[in-house]
Amino acid sequence: MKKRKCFFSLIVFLIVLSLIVFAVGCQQAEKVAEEKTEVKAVEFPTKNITLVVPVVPGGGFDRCARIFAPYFEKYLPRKVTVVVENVPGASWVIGIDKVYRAKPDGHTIGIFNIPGNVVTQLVMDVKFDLNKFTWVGRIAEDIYVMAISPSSTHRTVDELIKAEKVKIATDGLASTSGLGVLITTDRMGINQHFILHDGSTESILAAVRGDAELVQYPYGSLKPYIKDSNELIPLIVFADNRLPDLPDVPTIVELGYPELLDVVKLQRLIATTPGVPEDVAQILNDAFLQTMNDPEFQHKLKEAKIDLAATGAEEAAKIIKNAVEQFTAYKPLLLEHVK
Amino acid sequence: MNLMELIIPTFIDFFEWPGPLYLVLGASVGMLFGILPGLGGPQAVVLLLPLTFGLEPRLAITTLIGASGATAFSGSVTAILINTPGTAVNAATCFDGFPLARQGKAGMALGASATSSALGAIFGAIILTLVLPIGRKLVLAFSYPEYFMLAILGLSIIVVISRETLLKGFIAAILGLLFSSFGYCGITGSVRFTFGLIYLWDGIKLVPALIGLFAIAEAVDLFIGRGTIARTERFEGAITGVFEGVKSVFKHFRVFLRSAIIGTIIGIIPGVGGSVSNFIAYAHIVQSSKDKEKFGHGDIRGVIAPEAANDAKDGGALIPTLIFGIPGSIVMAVLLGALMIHGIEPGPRMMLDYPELILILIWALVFSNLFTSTVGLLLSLQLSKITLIPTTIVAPVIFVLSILGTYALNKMFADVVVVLIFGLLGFAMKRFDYPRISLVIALVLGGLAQKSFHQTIMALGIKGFIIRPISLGLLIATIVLLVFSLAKSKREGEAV
Repeated sequence: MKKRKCFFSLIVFLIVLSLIVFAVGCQQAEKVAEEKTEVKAVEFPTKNITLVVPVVPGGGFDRCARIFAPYFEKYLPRKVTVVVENVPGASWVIGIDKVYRAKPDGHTIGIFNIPGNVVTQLVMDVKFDLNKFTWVGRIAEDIYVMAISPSSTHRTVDELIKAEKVKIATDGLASTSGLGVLITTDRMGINQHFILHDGSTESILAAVRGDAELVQYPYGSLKPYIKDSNELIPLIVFADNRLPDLPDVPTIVELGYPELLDVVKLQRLIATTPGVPEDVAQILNDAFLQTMNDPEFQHKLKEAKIDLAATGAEEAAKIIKNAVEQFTAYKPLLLEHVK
Repeated sequence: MNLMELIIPTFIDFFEWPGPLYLVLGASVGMLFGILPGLGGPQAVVLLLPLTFGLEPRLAITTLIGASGATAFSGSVTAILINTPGTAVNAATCFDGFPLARQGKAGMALGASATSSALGAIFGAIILTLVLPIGRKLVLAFSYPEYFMLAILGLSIIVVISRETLLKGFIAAILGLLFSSFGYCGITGSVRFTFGLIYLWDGIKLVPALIGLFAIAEAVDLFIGRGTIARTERFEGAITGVFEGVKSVFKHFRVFLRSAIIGTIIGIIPGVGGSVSNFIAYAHIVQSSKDKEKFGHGDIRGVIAPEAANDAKDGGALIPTLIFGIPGSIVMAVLLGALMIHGIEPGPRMMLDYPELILILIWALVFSNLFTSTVGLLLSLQLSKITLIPTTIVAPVIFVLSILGTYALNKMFADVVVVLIFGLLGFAMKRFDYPRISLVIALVLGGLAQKSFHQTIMALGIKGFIIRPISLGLLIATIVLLVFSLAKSKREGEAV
């Protein structure tokens, strides 16, 4: 019996030892590979690129990233894989931090949610600065629609303004959608009564049930309830021109609040770590723009109900700069509602 | 009825080559992920997702549903053999599954789990098919107060399952509620107990906590205890043990049926989450049995009930996912994403536009479970021999797998720290006889109770809890449950 025990211990020991040797070996192999590549600086990419998605799989950003990755990798000068990695946590902060702190060699990129991430930076104690990232470009911009539940007694914007209390369903007020509806209703002078939820689908459902009166979300999310089942009534479109889908619904510009157009929208941008060498950033940017022009990619994005609105690196950086400036102005209002 | 007419044609479509191949592929990945503690359905479907982009929608759905359907049974394997739920939905299977393994009846428990899982999934699928046309109304009937009352009903179960150690059960539950309040609360906007760590903004995550409380605590305990898991000389290794397990499901068919109904209903309600269904089914069966004292010491009904419920809930959970596009779990969220990438938008029109796809999905759910359970039955004889290996060898393996599984989940070292802290806590609780499951129930339901309480107050005011019939009904059910269990335990106390 004792002999047998010794035998087992020996086996366990040997397995552990071989694992350690294997692990160390792997590490060294990686090191050697890295040293080799550092000789020629312009060669990029030299290994797989990680595309960080700072939310759990399944949502719009995850979908967008997963459609983007295979086409992006097609246009990179060297054959590597773009690996989508979900790094969720603390309303995007953990994932964004990962891109921010990565080695500035361009092998870590991330998808960003603007203006949501700008608000997070303003109200939360974060270590990153969005202005410092090396921006690659913008993929998409979603148009928002304000809609009301048929169970509400109000049918027009004027009635909403006069109402004593309007129940608004939204997710956290520091999110892109929550902030949009907070600023919009605040500017219009609507008496807000917020009912908060964990996610957009939950709050849309609250309005469909009639537990809330008003919701404001990207048109793609509301469309099934507006067009297919008439469970929500569209009120305002947040765009320069009326939507072909909703010809009778006025735009926010027509209603006299053009300044809200810059605030109420959802943009999906790609960036890499701050301080990436210019030639590497250029390679990423070229591949990005080629991806945006790929008809197959455009088709896939359209099928997934994401509105393509491509811009290059310079404009993307400008979008961020403007957003940070704009939302700093709203900081007092934000802090009043978001602790 | 359009949907009913399509049942047979879609069945033939489903078996059109290479459909079955993708099902087996998905189910195999799902099984592997289900067995490994930490990894579960969400990780399996995310891994397979990129692979499905190039496939036609029919095959993509088959692969993904195949994987997610396979995890629930596979997770019960580790729950029974090493007292470690392979996925969160198997937690209640540990109560009676592991005592059975200790008695040398692992084969019987595995047989019962496999059969109960497969039949549960079929039951859920049938209900899904029948209910889809009216599913919309069902989902809309549940609002904030109903969520809150369900959470309270779930919490009251702690009283039922910790009859013998009521005070210790309460202490564990309060600890669980405390842990569930950690982190950022999106509803009130407050941040609690983060100790300045960004990691704790998301609160204490369920999976690392579960792994710590069960797997790590068990590994330590087994290592100290020596010997083998099966504590008896009389190891029922023969195929008859497995067969007896299969038969037991039919012998206790009413137990199975009631659990499957509970699982399906809880699955339908979005936001409550499948991790609750197995607890509620288990507690219901314990509560409604005359010989309660047998549970927790290796009663086969304690394996049948949670396994029927956690597989039946998948059918239920597809109702809000398909009709409203509201995912009840991460698995469903990924499935939604996959559908949308293929240009199929779940929502009010899904039933009208893609009835064939819905049925293919239902078939995939059924056959993935049948496949997994068959493989499980065939392997159960070999698997149950794990309980004969000296624990000094099993324990380190559990330990290493648990830590690796946790790290693989999000690649966050902080998760591993949580596992170790909860492992210590779990070991202490086990040693001093505090029911760990009370803590888990409170941890799972605390967040839901808190959130829906605030939402009820925001939307309907305090009267919201009692003016709605379903909410009031659930409240009365909770009170009845509590009064009966307390009266009974008092009477039993006097009798002794």
